[in-house]
Amino acid sequence: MIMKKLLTISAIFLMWMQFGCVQKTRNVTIQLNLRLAGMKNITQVGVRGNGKPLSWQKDLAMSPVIKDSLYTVTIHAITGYNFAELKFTVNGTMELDGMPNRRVDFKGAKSVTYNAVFNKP
Amino acid sequence: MISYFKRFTSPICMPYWYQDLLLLIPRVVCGYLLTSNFGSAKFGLPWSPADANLHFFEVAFWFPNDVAEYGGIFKLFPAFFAWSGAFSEAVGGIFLMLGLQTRLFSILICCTMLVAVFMQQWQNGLWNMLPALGFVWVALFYSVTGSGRFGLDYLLTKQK
Repeated sequence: MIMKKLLTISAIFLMWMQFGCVQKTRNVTIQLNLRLAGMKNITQVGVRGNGKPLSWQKDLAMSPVIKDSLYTVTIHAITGYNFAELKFTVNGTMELDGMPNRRVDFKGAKSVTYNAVFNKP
Repeated sequence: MISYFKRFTSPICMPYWYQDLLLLIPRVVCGYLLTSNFGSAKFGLPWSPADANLHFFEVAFWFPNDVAEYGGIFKLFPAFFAWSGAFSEAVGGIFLMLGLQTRLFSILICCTMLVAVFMQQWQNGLWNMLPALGFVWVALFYSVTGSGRFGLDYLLTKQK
């Protein structure tokens, strides 16, 4: 009898551990627009940050809207957080060297648009 | 059963009190670091960063995904292993600091850190393994000695 109770409690506990104890996630769409001022011969513009699909090791490429001037990318993130931290890169060089990361807040929002100027916090 | 539990809880004390006092330092420092930083970033506690949006005793959404990448049994039960690992860091850190059930939580922390060393950091080289290895040595030590004189285990089990 005691053994049966123990097994039931253990099974419920394991089920809870497997499915119920993990932070809930939600889909968030983040549109990033980056303006470049006075830059020429741009070969690659990207963004790095925390949380997939971003990474601090590898650029997520941004597409030109106006070449050498305005670039954009839309990120579909599945996250439990209310924010993302990121920095932009141009030709492989990361902006805001030695300065804090940019922060995009999206508490309670399903989609957010973030406009930035390269190397200006 | 009770006497076994008492023996498991009862700490080994050093010959002089100042030796126990010195051995208190790594226990408190490591416990504090585990619960205030490493653990609370991925496990919901009142002092977890508000930005992390973690509820009480909840494991961060990204951690089971990381654990699943270890493969094998970790891939079968990623939430279980992620929750257990985060719990042993965040809650184990508190117990280690207080010297309460020191051996039990030292063993848990030791297992968690061995997983971190061999499954997470092994490919990243010795330098990246050092934090987890540091906790392994500390937890291994206290899994043998228990809390020493300056811990709740001592107060709870000392002979009157």
